[in-house]
Amino acid sequence: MRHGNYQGRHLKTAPPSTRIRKKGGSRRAGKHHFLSDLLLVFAGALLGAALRVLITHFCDLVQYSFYGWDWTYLFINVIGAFAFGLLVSLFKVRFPSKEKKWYVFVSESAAASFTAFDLVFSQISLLFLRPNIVVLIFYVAVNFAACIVFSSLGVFLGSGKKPAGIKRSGSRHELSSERGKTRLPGPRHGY
Amino acid sequence: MWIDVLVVVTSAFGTALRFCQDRFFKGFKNSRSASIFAASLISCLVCGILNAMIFLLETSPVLKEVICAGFLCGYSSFAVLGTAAALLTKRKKGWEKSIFYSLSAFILSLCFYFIGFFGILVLH
Repeated sequence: MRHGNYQGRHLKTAPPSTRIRKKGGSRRAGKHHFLSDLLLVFAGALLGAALRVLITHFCDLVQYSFYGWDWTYLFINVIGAFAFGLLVSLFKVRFPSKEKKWYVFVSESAAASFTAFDLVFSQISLLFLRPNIVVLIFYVAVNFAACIVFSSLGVFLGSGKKPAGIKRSGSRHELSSERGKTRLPGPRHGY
Repeated sequence: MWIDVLVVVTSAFGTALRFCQDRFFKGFKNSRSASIFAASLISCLVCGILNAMIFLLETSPVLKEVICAGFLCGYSSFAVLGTAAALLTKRKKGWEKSIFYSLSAFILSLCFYFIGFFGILVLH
């Protein structure tokens, strides 16, 4: 039989006021964490964009242009895509326990703002003045394909694993190959 | 010189905006690839509108430099798009999803660019 002023074991160890304070505190800490991440992203993006502007000034490949293509942007995009893929897979897949701040600073912001997506489309408007629509589409397609190939190369070099489509032997890998059937979640890299 | 500084600063603002959008999508759909896809479409649309305005109204190229080479290049990125496509291969067990994602990004980005570009031309 319980006593009249019985409060329960959980209430003795953690009173309600403390719990409420803890919740508010974690929310405030989350907000603080987000703001610090945002500042890191801003600083890293400044670095990446400055690097891009410097390369555009000093590495002028317009003299080798073909139908007015700017090879400098392709060069920047390929390097940035490879670096971003490599960094993301290193931080998220191979070494997920590493410091998150470095991931945010280097890959989320610096490598991402380094590449020039819309400058490629701006080239289209210059090319548009010439009536060759095939060259126009081909220019963007080359940029897209090169970036996807190089970022995939970076991802697969950085993760150091075989692609998930290849079946591997061993009890540990058998579980991952059954992922689709048993509805288990994939790797938690956020994409 | 000052244009370059403006480009760098606006690019940083664009990247910060995409970071916030990624966080929102992560909480909303638990998927960053959708956020990256949306960012590339939006930036293509804005880029098309801007290029048409420059072509028609002969606005200052500084505006194009600052918005297109700065803000929009920070907001959307080939590297992020390519990596999202590559990581989809690992996540969804197959390169078909990845190829579908990148092809649809390419085709829709071009479509959105031309919608913006020709939309302004027609409206003018």
